[in-house]
Amino acid sequence: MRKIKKIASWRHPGTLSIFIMDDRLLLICMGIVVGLCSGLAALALNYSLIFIMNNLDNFRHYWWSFLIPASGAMFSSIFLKKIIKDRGGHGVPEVIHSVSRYGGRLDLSSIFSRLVASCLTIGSGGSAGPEAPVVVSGSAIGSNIARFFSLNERQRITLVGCGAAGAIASIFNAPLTGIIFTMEIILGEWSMVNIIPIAVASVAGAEISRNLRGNIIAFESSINFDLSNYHFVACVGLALCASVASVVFTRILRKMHNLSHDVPIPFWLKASIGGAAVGVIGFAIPEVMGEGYHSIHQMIAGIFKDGMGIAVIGCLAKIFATSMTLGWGGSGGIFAPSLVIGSFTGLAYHRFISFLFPSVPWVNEGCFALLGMAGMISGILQAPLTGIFLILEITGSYEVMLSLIIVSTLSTTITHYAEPASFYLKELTESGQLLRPGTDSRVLADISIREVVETDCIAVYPDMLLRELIYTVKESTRNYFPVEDRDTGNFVGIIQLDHIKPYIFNTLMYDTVLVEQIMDSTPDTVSYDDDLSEVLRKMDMKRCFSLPVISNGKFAGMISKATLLDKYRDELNVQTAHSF
Amino acid sequence: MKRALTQIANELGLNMDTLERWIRQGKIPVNKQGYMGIYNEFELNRWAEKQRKSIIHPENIDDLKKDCLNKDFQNENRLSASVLTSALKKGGVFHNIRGSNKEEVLYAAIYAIAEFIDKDKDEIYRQLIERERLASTGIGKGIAIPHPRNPLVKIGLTEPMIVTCFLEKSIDFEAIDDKQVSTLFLLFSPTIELHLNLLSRLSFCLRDNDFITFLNQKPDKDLLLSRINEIENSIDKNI
Repeated sequence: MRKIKKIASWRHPGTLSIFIMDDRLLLICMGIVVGLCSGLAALALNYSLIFIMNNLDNFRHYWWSFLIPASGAMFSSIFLKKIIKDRGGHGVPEVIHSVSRYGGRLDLSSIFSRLVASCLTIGSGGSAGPEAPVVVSGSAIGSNIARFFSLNERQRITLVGCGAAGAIASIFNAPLTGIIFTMEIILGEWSMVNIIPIAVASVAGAEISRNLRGNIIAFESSINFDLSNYHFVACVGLALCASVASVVFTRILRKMHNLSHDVPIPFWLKASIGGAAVGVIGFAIPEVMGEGYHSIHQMIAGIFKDGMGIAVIGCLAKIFATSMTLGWGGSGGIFAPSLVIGSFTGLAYHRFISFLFPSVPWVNEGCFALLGMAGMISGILQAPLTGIFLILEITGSYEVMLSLIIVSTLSTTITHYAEPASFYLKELTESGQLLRPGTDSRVLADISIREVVETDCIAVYPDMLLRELIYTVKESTRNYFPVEDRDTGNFVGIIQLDHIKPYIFNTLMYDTVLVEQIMDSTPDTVSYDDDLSEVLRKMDMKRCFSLPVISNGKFAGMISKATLLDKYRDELNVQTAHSF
Repeated sequence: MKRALTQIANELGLNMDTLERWIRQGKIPVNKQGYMGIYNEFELNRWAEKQRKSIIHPENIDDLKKDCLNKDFQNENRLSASVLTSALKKGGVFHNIRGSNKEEVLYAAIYAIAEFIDKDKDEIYRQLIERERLASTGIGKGIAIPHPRNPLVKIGLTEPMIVTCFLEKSIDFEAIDDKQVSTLFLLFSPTIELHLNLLSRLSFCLRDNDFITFLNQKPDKDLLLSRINEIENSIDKNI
């Protein structure tokens, strides 16, 4: 018996007495495990991508090679939609949605589904990034570990964050970015309870990457960038260019998505059309193929092909290729493509200003490629900190810190005018599903009508005399009286004390007026399944403070603003308290 | 500690659905095991304090309810069971009260009451006159209901009393219908609540014109009480 108990408590660490008091230690330990696992997942994708790409490289020069990305995208879409039955999407928005709406619940299959699908798409040459898939995979690992140990939703959300942080930290060898990406984009809140396990997971993810791959900086530049003052002025223009690029990228990607949605052909055909298009572009501009890390390397090292036109065309081609891949059904993220587009933008901008002011001793173009990446990431994700830290860590160029901050923050601000919501959050915001903790919509979304309904109303019947009603009024503590059918018990109307005031002081009417004559027979009602925000909107429109709740045609209770305020405050208090 | 979830919800003043959701979301330091909640009392108390939720211990809740019930019960008892009759009985009936104006009549009436000691009588008189100065208590049809503005707790009145005084001759009481007043009901009660209750019952009786004619005959105490009792019983029945 004691043995069974021991096993049970091993599966339910949340019920151990030391963890009931304070679960920080528990979350830190779990965070390490989650960080290691998601780090491994990220490395697995990385290795298999390299393997596939190396093997397919030998076929790139054949005329039919455009069919490779086509078939890759096709298999990837068939795998996702038919075998896994995934809903699709870019990945990160789904994680954010699950965190804000379902307490971080993610399917077990999400651990590998995106990895395999994106591996097929990107490996075959489709233009997409492997970061979003590893974030999904890492988050799913965190979510499922939390479920295995029966942790509650708050703890599960933290572990989802740990997974995302571990994955980002591992794939870029960038622990700080892992933390910041998770806090800024996935969770949307900064709290001590979350940040510690996430930091630990991030370290674990980075550490496993360093152990297996070596401590390499992804896009290390051998040149030392020395920025003089006038470069800061140039940075403003670069920020502008980067934000234009990110707005264009966001819009074209969404356009493609809608366009492909309207085309009446099977999904796998769509995906292969997208893949084939990328393959065709790839003949002319091979840089658009795959995740594009190689071209970033070249650009930062300042050894990319000369010519301003090449950079501009490369930038546009990458935008188009990524939109074709992702918009038409391929699988992958926008992280790496954004980096490539950003560096193309920076390069083009540098070549343009060098052309305008040839006598000025500009810094090497690699520096602008790097700043362009930061501007692009900050703009498209609306996350300046992620942009700054990511570029710092993946390039190791700490000397450009100041310009980096300028470009990132400016780009975020400018992009915000055109696209108020970041790429990840746009759809969620439009469908009202983005519920960040401590916000009005989140509080309302969490409270259900069942929790605020008041059932202490006394029902009256339509054939009652006013006199009888007044005796009921005397006994009741409330101002509303539901009228129910005597036989069926169905709700037929409501009497509001305010509305019958003219009659209740007139004794003559006591025995002459029936309840059904003075009741409101077409009141606004709500049901248990209604959204609270919808209910409040109804109240505001009708300028009333209470509404009857009807369930199956029967009166279930009243919902009133006064009680709601009480519950609202409780909920807000509980949501914004970050620890017990 | 282990307790039923419904019990914990009660103690915290929470809805059951809210409690279950908070446990699921991990917003409250309670773990669920079937219908039971496991928690550390100290932790939960600290949490409740932080959330400004007061923990009421179950025993206290019962006490509170009992208290409320008791109070209601006593009130009901005091109010419902022919409170008017007993107040009239306690106050007594006095005939031939002398005086040519309001002040004299009230003075004479108060001094006729044996219940009060002399020292209080002046105070009561003062309060009655003060109330009359605000507005006359003559309610018409030859009746006045003089009463002090505030409950007479200071002089140790514990039960309400209505003193009925039939005047020797009618006087001008500045009543609302300008009729001469011949009957006074001096109303003293320890609480406002009782005062209002008595007032409403008394005015109910006085709406009846037969009763007014009956009063004009200046009946003696027993006759008056039995008539009042009759009317009051019919009120109680209606309620």
